[in-house]
Formats: sequence, structure tokens, C-alpha cells
Amino acid sequence: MSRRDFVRLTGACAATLAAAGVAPAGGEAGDLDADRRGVLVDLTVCIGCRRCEWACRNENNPPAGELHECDDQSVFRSRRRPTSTQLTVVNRSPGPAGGRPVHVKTQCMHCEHPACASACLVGAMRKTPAGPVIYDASRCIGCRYCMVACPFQYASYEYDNALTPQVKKCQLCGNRTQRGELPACVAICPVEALTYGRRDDLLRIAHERLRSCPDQYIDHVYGEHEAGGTSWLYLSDRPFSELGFPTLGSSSPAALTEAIQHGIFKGFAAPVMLFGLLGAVGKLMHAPKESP
Amino acid sequence: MRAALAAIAVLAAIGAAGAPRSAERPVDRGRTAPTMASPTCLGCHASFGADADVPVNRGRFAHAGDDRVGASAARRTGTPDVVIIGDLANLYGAVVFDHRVHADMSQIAGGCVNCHHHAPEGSPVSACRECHAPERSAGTPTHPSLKGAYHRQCLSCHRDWSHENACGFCHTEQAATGGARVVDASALAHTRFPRLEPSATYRYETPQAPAALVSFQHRDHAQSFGLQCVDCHRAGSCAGCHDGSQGPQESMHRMDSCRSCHAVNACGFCHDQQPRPPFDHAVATGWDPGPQHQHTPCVSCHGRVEAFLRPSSNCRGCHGGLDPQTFDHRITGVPLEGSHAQFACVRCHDASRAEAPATCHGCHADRSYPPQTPGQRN
Repeated sequence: MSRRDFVRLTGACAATLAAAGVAPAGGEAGDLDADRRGVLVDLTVCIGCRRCEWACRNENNPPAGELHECDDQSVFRSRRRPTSTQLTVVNRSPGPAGGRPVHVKTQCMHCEHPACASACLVGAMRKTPAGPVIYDASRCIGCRYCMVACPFQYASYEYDNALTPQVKKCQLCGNRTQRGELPACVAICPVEALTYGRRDDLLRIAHERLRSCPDQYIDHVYGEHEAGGTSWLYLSDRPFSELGFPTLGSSSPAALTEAIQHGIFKGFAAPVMLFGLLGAVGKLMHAPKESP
Repeated sequence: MRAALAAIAVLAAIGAAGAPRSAERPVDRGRTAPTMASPTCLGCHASFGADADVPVNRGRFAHAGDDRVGASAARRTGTPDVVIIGDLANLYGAVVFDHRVHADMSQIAGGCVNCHHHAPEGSPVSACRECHAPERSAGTPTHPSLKGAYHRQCLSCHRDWSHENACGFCHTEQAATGGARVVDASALAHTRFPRLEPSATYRYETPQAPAALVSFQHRDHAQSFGLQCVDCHRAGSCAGCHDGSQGPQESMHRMDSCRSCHAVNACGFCHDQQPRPPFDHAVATGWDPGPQHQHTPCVSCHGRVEAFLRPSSNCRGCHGGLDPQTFDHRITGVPLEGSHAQFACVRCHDASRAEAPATCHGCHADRSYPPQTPGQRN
């Protein structure tokens, strides 16, 4: 083997291995635990007291301040997004004349097949079999592809932290749930508009409510199929598109890119063919000419 | 952070949801509200005193209460006026729940089942905690816990009419010791909802041209005519009346509401081209009730409210039992002195025409009393 051949061979192998080595980050359906957890939000019950915001701060960014500060309704004047210090926020959509306003709690939806995890180069975002999509700051390189990839735009970044900024989003209170406690927002909700439990159970409960109270809800469980399904599920009496929910298809945003990537590299067939072809072309073009 | 929004109030199912405390308070009895003897609790709560101390929803809640609503027509005693629910309290103090006001007002908007939602008429009232566990389930709960149920029950109406979701609206001040602070319930009753100030007159523009205007004299109906809220407001909601930001919501101008009392077919009875002034008996009927009838309820002469009858024009249609020998004429403002005391009624009064004032000029020169002193005797 000549020196040129050796460089060719090692280059082809390195390229193939590098491409194949990027593990698919978005969890496959088969990876998810049947007991995976989620939260069902009944928007017809939520009163907009914002105690979930306080509980979330108290859990993740203490001190949370005085509880009664949540009574300030002026925050509803503008639509808010979760921030790096407030991982969940409640927005108000005014109701029809004389009707109730609808309050929508927003936070990471913990997608079943998260686009953030698919976009992450280094596996810092990971869908756990138990349901939550968790973030590992020790792996994060700060590219913020996850924030771009999120179909809900709910992840945020510590832009004010110059040295060790992190992506911030709801982690579904893993430390609390491991102790057998409810997530902080769920636990504090005075009207129990939030129900934490097995996602399958929540879907069953949600459909039971739709069936038993058809006048009270629109016939749609947001999150059952949106973006390939989410751990947070919502019931509402008004169309979700009027409440600031993005209208999404039933497949994960990562489905197409992952299908291409995974398809190409499946069994290394494509790289082998590509580099085999390149090698053959190179061989032909550099075939030693017969000396006259 | 353990969710610590403390106890909430609600409809503590009587004698059920944790030994409600009852507190007596003065009852604001209305104008002409009838009072009844106090029947026993067993009239409604069939099982009181029996083995199971469970009240039964007999439909119309009829405890002494806000007479404006009309629930006092059949008074009962022995149920809580005010319930203090504090057995779940920690961060916030106990809630003082005015069961009586809510129960009475519920007649306007659905009845007891508004809150006692699994106690349809005729069935026992279950304690809330029979279905709603005091602690939240660690599994996947299908029912809200007791605290969640209380909050939902209260707020399902309150957020509609008061637009309030602040904890302090219902809860007493934060309990310093982490426990429920028992408060004087009577001091808090009737302080947390706005007194309604309905307009004296509501004017409705209708498509009934040209007489499109209907002037509804709300004050007359509610005060002078002795009607109670529930007589007209039957299928309303709390917000329909209490949400001041929405203006009058109840569509009481529907003709059905009026026709339940006014069995007339003439459009002009209600519809007019001009706004109408409040009811004036003298103008509307030609008979001035005068000061002596000032406090007489309409129903004394006109029969029951639901079907107003035209009374006999003969005074004895109403004053049939009037005994001239014992009648104290001074209550009319005209003391009968001297020879007048001996007169038969018809000497001055036209017994066939109640609307005709007594005349003096049968005997005296030219003038009638009052307003003028009669002249010399003829």
C-alpha cells in the first residue's frame, strides 16, 4: 500500500465512523417506558393564580419572594415566555365578551421525541425513558441548537452569565418525583388544574372528561399527538390556536432529519457505497499510464 | 415546597364535612317577609336524629336567610349559617364560609346541587371527603383532593363574577402558628360580596315598533310589589347579577318572565313609545291609596303576587271584616270627633266606590277635608 492509498483509506474510515458515531439523540418510541409520567392541564379549571410560577421559582431559583406577590395581575398584559429564572409562566387569553379568560401555563412540554435532543450535538439534552427531557450542563457546549429546534420555543438561555451559561428549562422536578413528591407546580396548584401521573392514565382521564362533558371542552387533547406527542397534555374549552399554542403536525420535527440521517447511515451502506465509488473514480483517474 | 394553600371553604355538607361550626347572627329580615313557625329539621333532613346523621337534599333550600331571595317562604332552622373550614389550613388561615347566603342565593342559579353536586334532589348529601381525599394521591388521581375540590367549587363561580383569584379574598390572614386561626364568624358574614344596587328602572329597546320601549320598574317590583328575586330570576348565574363590569346580564325583559304574572295580551301594557315613570297607584288606577295604605302590601288587596287580581272597588272587598263599632278611625288621619263618631260609614264614604274619597260637602259647605277645613255645616 502506497502512502497515498493509506491516507485515502484512513480518511474514508474516519469519515464513516464520525458520521455513524453521532447517536440518534431523539428517543425512539420503543425506548420509552410504558409508565412514563406526564402532566394533564385542564385549562377550564385554571384560575390564573400563578402559584405554579412561585412554586417553580421556589424550587429552582430561590428565593421566590412573597407568595402574595403572585396576585399581581398586571403581568397578564403581555404574553410572556419562560425565562432562565422563571421556567414556567402563565399567560392569559381574554375570553369572549362576558366570558372567562383562559390562563395557559407554559413550560417545556417534554416531547416524546424531542427535537432539542435530536439537534443537540453532544447529547446534553436527553429524553429519559421515564418521561422528562433533561439537560446535562456538563456536556453542553452552548450552541443553543436546542432552543432553535424547540417547536414551542420554551427553552431559554442564561445570557447574563458570561462564563458558565446554561440552557434553562423545566426538568419536571426530577429530584422531587424521585422522592415520591409531586412536581412543585403540580403540588401547589390550589384548584388542581394540574394532574401528574402516568401519561397513559392521563390520556385515559382526558378522554373520559371529553366523553362525559362534551359541552365543557373542545374535543382535542393538545399534546397527545402534537409534535409526535408531549408529556404535558392540555384540555381546553377554546381552540388551542386561539390560546397561543402552536399548530403542529403529529410527527416530531426531528422525524424528517432523523429519517434522513439514520437512513443514510443504516448499516453503513451509504458511506461504504459513497467512498467505494469515490475510491473507484479516483482509481480510474489516477490509473498509471502505460509508458510509450 | 409542599403545597400549602390552606383550607378552603365551601359548602361543608351539613353535618358531614368535618363538624361545621355554626354561628348565630342577626338575620336581616326584609320588608314584608312572612315569618313562619319553625318546623323541625326533619322536614328536610329526613335522617336527622336517626341512625345516620345525613341531611337529604329536598330541593329548595329553605333556611332563614336573605329574604330578598325568597328562600324565607318556608323557614327552617338547625343548619349552619356560617361554616368555618380550617382543618386543612396551614399557610393560610381558615375560611369563613357563609353557607346561609350561598344556599339562599343558589335558588336563583340551580339550587343545592350547584355545590352538592352528587346530591340530586331527594338523595342524601354526601360529605365532600367521601369522594375527595384529604391528601393528594401519589398515583394518577381521577378526583381532585379535598382542597382542590373546595377551591374549584368556590372559584368556579367567584372568578366569574368577582374576577378574584387572590387567596385573601376567602382566606383569613395568614396563620402565624401554621394552624387555622379561629375567627369570629359573625363579623365576616356579608362583608365579602358587593351589595347589589339594581337600577330603579330598566329600559329595554325592543323590535316592537313603533312602541319599542319597555320600561321595567325593578324597584317597584322588588320593593313595592313584594316580589322576591327568585320569583323572576330563576335560571341565572352569580355573574349575571354580581359582575358589575358586565352590566345587567339577566334578560329579564323576555316576555315569558312578565307573563307569568301579567296575563295580558295587549302590547301596550308594557310597550310604549315613551319611557314610563315609576308606578304611581293614583295615576295608574285612579285611586290614591293615601297614607293609610302606605304600608299595606299589595297582596293584601290584590291577592297572590303571581296572579294579580283587580280588587273589588268596594272597600269591603278588602275590609270585609271591618267592624264599624271597633274600627279606630284615627289611623286614617281623620279622627272622628263629636257627632261624627255616631255616623254610619256610608254617610261620608261611597261604599260602592273605594276609589272615591270621603266627602264632606254632603253636610258641610263646599270643601273637603283634607286638604281644606270644611266650611259651615249646611
